[in-house]
Amino acid sequence: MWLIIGYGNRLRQDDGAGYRVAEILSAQLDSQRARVLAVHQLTPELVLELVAADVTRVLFVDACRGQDKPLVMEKLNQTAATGSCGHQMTPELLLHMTQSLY
Amino acid sequence: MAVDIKAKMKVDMKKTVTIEPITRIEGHAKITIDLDDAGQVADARFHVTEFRGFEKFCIGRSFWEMPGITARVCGICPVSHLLASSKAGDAILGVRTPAPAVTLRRLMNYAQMVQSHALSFFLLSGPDLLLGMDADPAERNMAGLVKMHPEVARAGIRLRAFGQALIRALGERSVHPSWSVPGGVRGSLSTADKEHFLAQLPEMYRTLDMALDLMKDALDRYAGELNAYGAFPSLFVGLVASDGGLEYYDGHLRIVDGNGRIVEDNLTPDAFLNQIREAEETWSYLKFPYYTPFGTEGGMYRVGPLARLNVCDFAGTPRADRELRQFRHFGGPGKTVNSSFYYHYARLVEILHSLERIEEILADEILLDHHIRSRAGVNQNVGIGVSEAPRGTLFHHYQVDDNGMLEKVNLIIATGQNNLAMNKTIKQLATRFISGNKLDEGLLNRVEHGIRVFDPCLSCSTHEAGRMPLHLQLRAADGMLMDEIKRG
Repeated sequence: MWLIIGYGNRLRQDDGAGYRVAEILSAQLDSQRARVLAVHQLTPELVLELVAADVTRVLFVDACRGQDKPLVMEKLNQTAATGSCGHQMTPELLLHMTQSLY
Repeated sequence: MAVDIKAKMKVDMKKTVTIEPITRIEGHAKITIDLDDAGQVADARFHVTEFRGFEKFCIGRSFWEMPGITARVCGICPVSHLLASSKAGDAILGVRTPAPAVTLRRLMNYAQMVQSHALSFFLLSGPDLLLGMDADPAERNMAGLVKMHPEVARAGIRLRAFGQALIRALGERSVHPSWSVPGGVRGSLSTADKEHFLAQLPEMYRTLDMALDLMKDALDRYAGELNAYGAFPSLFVGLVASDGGLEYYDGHLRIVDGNGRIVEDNLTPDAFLNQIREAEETWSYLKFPYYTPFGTEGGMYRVGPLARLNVCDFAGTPRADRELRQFRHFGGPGKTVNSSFYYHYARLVEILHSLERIEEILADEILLDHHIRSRAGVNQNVGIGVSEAPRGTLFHHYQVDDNGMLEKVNLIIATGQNNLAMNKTIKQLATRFISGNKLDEGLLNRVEHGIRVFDPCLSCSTHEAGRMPLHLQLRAADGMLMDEIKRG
């Protein structure tokens, strides 16, 4: 099963694009094939979603500035994770924590 | 990292250390440290550098909207604003909130304490406490903690997830729920959810046992430094229950001095606010509240976990009371615990207390009662809501017209109330650890940790946006910038 995490703050308009994409996908995708989460920000406890036994792939959806194309897909490298973190996290750090903890 | 300040002086002709951003806190801030001609610390300041202005743009809105709007002040403690705003709305309606709704609100507030304190202890301050203040900064962070102490990180994440899931079960989402409203709440908790959370409690208690052991190890390890982390007498303020017990939701306000003497008791929120003045400085968006009768210096007060444990007579739950007795040994008989480093320990006692209260509430049949909201129109033109947020006492003070449209909004936030104490703490730390010609990253981290012990939430306290970097400056007696370090 795919785990799709769309995140952002809809009060900041474009920043909430990832959140909105997750809402749309949640209504359209087969829940047996994909679990979709729309969240405000990435937080440490999402590690527990990533390590669920049936999750085979994780897709993060976020708004981003400065791209040449409207939609860019890239493979994340958990080893590129940085440890700097306040109350919110990067997807790389979330992957890194998941890999290290479980 | 070591910085040769004398060498920098030749270039900059300034003597200021700047730490920016302060990491592992919520919001944006910097620290500046000014040196005198002898190279000794003359002053240190904690600057909050962003601004949002919720108090202004809420004017003209309906008070009914305020719980939903003000919950957006913060993504970490939205529940605190939700509850304080709802209580201000209760006062404007002038109705009695149904007992089941009050119980449900209390339940969400306990869950909030668990998730927020777990984040602070395990993941934000954990790297300093477990890896060491002098550890390589590239490792002294959440990823480093995961690498070196995975069992601690796993337990901390599951504890925080427990609190977040309980908030979500009540309010549909854990960030920015809009479930509590003037007069009550929108929904109850299902029997299946109650059983689900009760079943997880044994694991959460085991996690607290581990955390308390780690905390006591850290207290031993830093025993020689504890008197530098904001160790000074001050006033302490917090809610206490009618019987003097630890209280987060209702009760009355109590002020205790640094020797454990009760200065004022049985204060209503409006009586307390009449005793408080908010000073302002040009170098920070964060105000400086103080207890007016004692002036700006003597009126400095602290709120939050340390204050709450200092003002209450007892916790009121068996495990937390046992731990509270040990905690009070650090202050001495009848005295307050005055070093801000003990905020960490106090957070753990409060998580324990919150878990016990959650267990009590989940077993209470009042949750089966579906009368959870009272309805009315505007019956009072002023409403004040108070609750204990993870970081301390939170006030929402609204004035509305007869149609319920807001004419005045004043939010007095925990972190703001700790502002004078945070500034004094970093000056104490800088004086202890920084002198003359070299800046060591480990020493600067101790200064930064002096802010982190308060677990400040600057998004709340200035009602501002985004993460908070930190900037530390070292300034000479003539105000010239001598050195600075920025992060973020």
